[in-house]
Amino acid sequence: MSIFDTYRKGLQRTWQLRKVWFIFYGLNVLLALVVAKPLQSLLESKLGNSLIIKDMVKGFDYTIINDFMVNYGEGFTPIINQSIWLVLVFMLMQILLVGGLSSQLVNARNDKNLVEFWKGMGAYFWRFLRLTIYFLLINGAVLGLFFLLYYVIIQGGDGQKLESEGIIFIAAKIMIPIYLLVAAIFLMWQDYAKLQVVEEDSKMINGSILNAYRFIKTNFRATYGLYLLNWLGAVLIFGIYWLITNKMEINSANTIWIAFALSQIYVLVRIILKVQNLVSIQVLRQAKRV
Amino acid sequence: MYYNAWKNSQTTFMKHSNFGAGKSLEDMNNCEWSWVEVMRVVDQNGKDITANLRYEAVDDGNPLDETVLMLQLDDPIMPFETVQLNMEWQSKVPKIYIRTGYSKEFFFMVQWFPKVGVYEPAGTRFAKKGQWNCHQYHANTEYYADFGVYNVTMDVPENYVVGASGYETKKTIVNGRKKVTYLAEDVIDFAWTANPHFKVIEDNWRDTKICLLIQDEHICNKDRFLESTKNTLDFYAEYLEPYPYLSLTIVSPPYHGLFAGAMEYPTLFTAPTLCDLPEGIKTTETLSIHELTHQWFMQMVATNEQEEAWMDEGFTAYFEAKILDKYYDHGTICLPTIGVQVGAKELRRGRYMGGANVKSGPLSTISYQFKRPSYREITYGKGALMLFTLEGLVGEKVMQEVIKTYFNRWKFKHPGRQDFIDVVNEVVPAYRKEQYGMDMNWFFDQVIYGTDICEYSVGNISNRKSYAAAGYLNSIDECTPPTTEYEQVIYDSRVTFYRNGGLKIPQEILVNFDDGTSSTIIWDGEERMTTFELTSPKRIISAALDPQRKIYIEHNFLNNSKTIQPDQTGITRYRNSFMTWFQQAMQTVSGLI
Repeated sequence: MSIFDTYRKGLQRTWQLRKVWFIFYGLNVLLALVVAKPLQSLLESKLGNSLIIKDMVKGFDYTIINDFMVNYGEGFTPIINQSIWLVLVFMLMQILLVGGLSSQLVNARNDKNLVEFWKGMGAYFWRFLRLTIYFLLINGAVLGLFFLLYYVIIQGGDGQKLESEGIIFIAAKIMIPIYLLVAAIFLMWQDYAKLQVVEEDSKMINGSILNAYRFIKTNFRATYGLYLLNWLGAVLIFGIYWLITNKMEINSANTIWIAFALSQIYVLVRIILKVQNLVSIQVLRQAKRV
Repeated sequence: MYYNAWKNSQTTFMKHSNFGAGKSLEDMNNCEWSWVEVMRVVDQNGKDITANLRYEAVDDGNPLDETVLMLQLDDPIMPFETVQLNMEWQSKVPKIYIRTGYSKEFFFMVQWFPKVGVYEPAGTRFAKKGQWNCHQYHANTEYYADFGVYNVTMDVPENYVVGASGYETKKTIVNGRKKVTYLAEDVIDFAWTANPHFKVIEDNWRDTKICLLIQDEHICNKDRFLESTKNTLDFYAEYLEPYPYLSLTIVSPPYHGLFAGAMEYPTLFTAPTLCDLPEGIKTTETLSIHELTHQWFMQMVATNEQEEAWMDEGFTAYFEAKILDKYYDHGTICLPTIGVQVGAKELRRGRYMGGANVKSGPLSTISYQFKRPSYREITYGKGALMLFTLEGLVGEKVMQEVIKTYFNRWKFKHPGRQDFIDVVNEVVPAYRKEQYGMDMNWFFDQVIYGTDICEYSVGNISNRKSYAAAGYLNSIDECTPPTTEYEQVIYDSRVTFYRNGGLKIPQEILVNFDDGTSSTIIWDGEERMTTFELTSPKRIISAALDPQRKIYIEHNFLNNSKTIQPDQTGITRYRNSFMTWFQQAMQTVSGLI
């Protein structure tokens, strides 16, 4: 089965998992509202009766933002602090949900029934938490390694040592894509490991991580190709969203809400693509084992 | 003796400089210190007077600071007398540091010779009697020098490209050496540069030859340099006075020589550039406009940068913003992909308002006595905002008249702040006497000599139904109930305005009514609070202080208006944007799980 067939079959199963998309989306919206509501209250209390808010309709306004931060910035600090904590909460909730999704993909016979999803959330939480920590460390190390390499190449950006600034930009332009391609391998490994952990259902996850690595190594062209295809889908969707929103002129209540609706569709599509990524990986795993 | 500022780690400059830490241990181990030393001075009679030289730390008495060298003549110079001195000196050129020195093969030579201080006759600036004005080199300050004629010959390897203040008068090449002579007349300084890697781009503006010395890797930005330079020259030709010199040299230093810029010298300025910066970030244009503007404000109107830095930097920041906003209507920062656009004038104001402590000293503070880091935002930012506010008060035409009069009266001289104030007090009353009285001292006393901020706000708006007189009106036997005796409902309307800051500036107030009409009133801005009251059939729906933002030094524009019919659409947009941004951030983070 080609990676395109795998991708297509993955899409079919992803479609069956519509309820799961909306669970992920619901969590995202809920937490975003928790952050957005205090900001709205702060803006209303400080600017609600000011004529200046008509200038906010057009979007970014340096003077408004600057004056707000200079004069009322202390009100914004708790919102930022809260946002940081909510991102951590979101990560934990994601671990919970991804455990459920992995369980559903590996164990469920019928995607209309989400029993395995709900069971898996609790069953795999701690193991997925450990898995996440391991791979955060690995991904951090990869990023650190690339940064170190970049730092060495540009000689710390030291003007006295470099002939011109060109190397700083050229090295970045070359190294960022290489980094992404390398990072993709480790992120992909993490995804295969999730499904392997569920399948083996062992308390110790090290064996599953190793087995996932072996599977990727044996089927590298298919696994990496599929992973990049999934990324390509995300890039395409981002491109389309960017083109649409850049063409939009937002200058009224109607256009503000249209833009907001588009942004929500984009968030939902990103979630669908995330589900699709894991689903297509499971399709590939099954196909390679048949 | 500017190069002596980096002679050791205990000079006044090094002790107070943020850049002091910039000297690496490696440089110090290699003794990368610079110096300038006068070896011999001979007077016009051939007498060696070298022994009369002595260093004196005139500002702080620092014995390890040798940036001021005194020469006691045997005989005083009498009025209208000329004295000729011949001086031999040596300099050790620094590894590029604070605008000057060498970096690899790039040389940027400024403050490289013993510069003569300025003799200020009685009546010049603050001088009560004739005196020398020559400060030590401080970390905060730049330079102050008198006008002169420079005839300089530079002897460099043949492959070096040379640029300098003034214009080239002679060039010879003998035995692999190139000798280039430049003549600069009626200028306060002389700068030159040499680098074998410079490309020379030539252009003309009227009779002025523009020469851009630029690295190969920056050639992509040559049109940005030339366009912004010509825009600036056009602006001044129309607004003030055309650029009077025959040459203008723009030096764009290499990356390894970034410390050479951005800086201004007579008929020459430096402006670093990077080709990889997005086109919407107008750093190249901003620096070119700013440094070129210095040709008028402190090269021609030669104010004292060491004592009154705002008189050149404030003026320059003011004109930089005006020119940028006139010629680049998409803003100094324009990144449409992320919906960001910032104009030059608002960027300047924003930087000032966000400054670390903009109340730490008045504009009148002697430049080197400013406490870091407020120096920059006060001299550049407050200086520019003060001028924008003055323009808002007197109007653009009158402001132009002020600047023209000031420039024409003081070009090729050394004015101080009082000279500028005197011009304002002469020009403004001729146009605005009824509005502001006989002088504008009330304004300058606050913005130049004070540290208070300008902060006005609109308080509550209320519209109450008006009733005819009620209660025991004629006798205690008869109580008159409240009643609206009018044919239509009448309102007692009221809106309150506050002065929250210390600065007092007259305010234009716009009051809008529900029948579509509006009223404009002037409040002298003196009291802490004032109230606008009206009894009429119309209700006040909104009020705004300074609706056209003429008082640009105002600290908070957000509370300058109030309405009883708020339209929350703007807030909805910001809330939605923030929410969406947070959602995308969370989704991106989820990629790690």
